Amino acid sequence: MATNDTYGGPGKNLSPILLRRNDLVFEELDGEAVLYDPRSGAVHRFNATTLSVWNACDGSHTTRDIAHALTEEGSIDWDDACAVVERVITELKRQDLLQSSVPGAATGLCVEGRPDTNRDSEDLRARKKVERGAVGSPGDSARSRSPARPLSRRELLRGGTGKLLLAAPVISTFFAAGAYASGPSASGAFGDGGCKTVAYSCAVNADCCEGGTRTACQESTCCVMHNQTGCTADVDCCNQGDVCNAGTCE
Amino acid sequence: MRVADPTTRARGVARRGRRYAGGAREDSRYGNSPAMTNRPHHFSIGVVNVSLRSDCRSFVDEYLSLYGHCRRGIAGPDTIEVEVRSRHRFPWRRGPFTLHSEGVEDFQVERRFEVLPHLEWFINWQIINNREDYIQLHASSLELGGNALILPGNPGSGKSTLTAGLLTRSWSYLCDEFALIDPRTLMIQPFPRALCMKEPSFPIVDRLGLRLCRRTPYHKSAKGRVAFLNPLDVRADVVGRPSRVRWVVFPEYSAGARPTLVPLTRSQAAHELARQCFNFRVFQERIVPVLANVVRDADCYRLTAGDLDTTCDLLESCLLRAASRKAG
Repeated sequence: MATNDTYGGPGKNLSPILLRRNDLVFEELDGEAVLYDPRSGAVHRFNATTLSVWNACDGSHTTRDIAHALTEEGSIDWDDACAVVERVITELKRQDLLQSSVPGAATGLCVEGRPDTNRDSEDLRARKKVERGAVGSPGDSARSRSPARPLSRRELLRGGTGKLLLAAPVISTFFAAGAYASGPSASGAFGDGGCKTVAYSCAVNADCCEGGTRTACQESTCCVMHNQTGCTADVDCCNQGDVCNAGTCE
Repeated sequence: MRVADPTTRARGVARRGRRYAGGAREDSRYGNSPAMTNRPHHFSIGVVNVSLRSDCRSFVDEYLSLYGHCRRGIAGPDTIEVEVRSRHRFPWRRGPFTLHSEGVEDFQVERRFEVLPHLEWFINWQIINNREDYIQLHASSLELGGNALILPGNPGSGKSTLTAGLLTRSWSYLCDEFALIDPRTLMIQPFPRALCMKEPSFPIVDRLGLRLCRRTPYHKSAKGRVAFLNPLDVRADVVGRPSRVRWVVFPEYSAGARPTLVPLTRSQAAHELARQCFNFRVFQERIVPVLANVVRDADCYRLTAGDLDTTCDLLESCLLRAASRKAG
C-alpha cells in the first residue's frame, strides 16, 4: 500500500507522495472545479492549475514530479515551477484538503535545484510498481468525483505562464452558513468563521458575525444593533433612527 | 356644541381609511366585496401561496392592490399563513402592529407605513425557512424565449432597477428577490411578487413610465424609503414561464460608471451562486452538483451597471448575440 513516507532504497531523496481527500463533493467545470467540504462546510473553487495539481495528488506523484512536468513543457522555468507547486500544495494543506499532512513537504523544493531527470524517472517507475491499495486510487468513494488520471503537462499550464500562475489566486473559499469551522475569509462578505458581515445577505441571526449579540439579521440583511459597533453608515444600523457615530449605532 | 351626524362621521372615517390604504380605490377590480376583518384572503403568486388575514381592512386592501390578480378562493399547497394584528382601536392611526405566523416568532412594526414592506419581507423569510423544495438564490430572475436570466447580488447591487428596465424591453418576469430553482429539473420557477424599489431608483422608474405604488411613503428600516411596482402594470402578460438558466450575470451598480460586461468562468459563477444561496443549510452537499449543472450550459458575466438604458442595451446585445452564436 502506498504511503506518504519516502520511497526507494538507501540514498534516495524524494519528496513525499501526496494524496487528496476522497470525501469531498467535487464538480469539474471547463477545466476548473468547485468543491464542497462536508467536514468544514467550506466551498472551494480551483483554477485550472490548482485542479491539475490536485488531480496529481493521487498517491503516485510527488511535488517534484509535478514541478518537473511544468518545466518539461518549456514555458516555465524551474524556480517558477517550484514556486507554483509549493504555493498550491501549501494552500491545499492549509485548507485541509489532503489526506495527510507531512510537515515541510511542499517547501524547500527549489533549494535542491533541478532534479536529475534519469534518477527521478527510475524512482517514478519504482513507485508505480507499489501495490495500489491506497485511498485515492480507483477505489475512491462516490462522493469524490475527481478521477485519478495521469498528470498532463498541458493541463498544468492552462492557467498561463509562471508569473501569471504565481499572481492568480490559488483557491477561493467561503464557508457556508451553519458550518462555522475557522478559516480564512474569501471576500468582504465573510468574517472569520464564515459568518456574514454587515450589509450582506442572511436568513437568521446566526448567519451574521456575532449575530444576536452585536448584529442581527433583519430583512435578509446583516445589520448592527443599537449601541453596538461595526457600522460604516447609517443604513448599517438595525434601528431606523439610529445614526452611525464613529462606528457605533446610536 | 356641534353634534356630528353618525352617518357622516362613519363615511368620514371610511374615507380616511381608504386614504391610508394606497390603491384601495382600485379594489373594485379585484373583488366583489370589501375585505372583511379577520377573514383569510388566499393568493397564489406563482409557486408561492399566501394566506393573509388582518383585523384592519386597510392592510388587506393594500396587499390586494398589488396581488388582487393572484387572489384565489381557497388556500393552495404549502400556503404561508400570515396575520397582521393591531393593538389599537383605530389601527390606521398608529401601531405597534404584529406580523404573526404559526410556529415563528412574532415581528413587531412600530409605524403604519412600515407594515407592507415588512409584510413582504416576513413572507420572504417564511419562504426561506419553509420552502425546502427549491434552492433559493438571492437573485432577480427573468425569462426571454424560454431562457432564464438570473441576476444574483447583495442588497444595493441594482438587481430590482435592472429588472424593471428589462421588463420594459419585452423580458418576462419571474421574481426580483429570489431565483427559485427546482433541484430535479433545474428550472427557475416564477414568483412574480411586486418589485420593491428603493428611493434612489424612484426617478429612474418614473422615467421608464412605470407606476410606483407610493402614495404613502413606505419605510423599510435598513433600506429607507421604498415603493412597490406591480409587475402587471408593465404589461398584462409579463409573468414568465419556468425556464432553464441561460445567462448568469452578477450586477454591481456604480453611479456614473461606464457599463461593462466581463465574462466569468463557470466555476467562478457556480462558486458565487453558492455564496448567494439562502437555504444552503438545507441542501448542503447537494448544492454544488446542482449549481454546477445550472451553469454548465450558461454564459456567465460580471456586470458593472451605470446608466440604466445604456446598461440594458449592453446586456441585451451581448447576451442575445452570444445566444445566436451558439444556436448558429
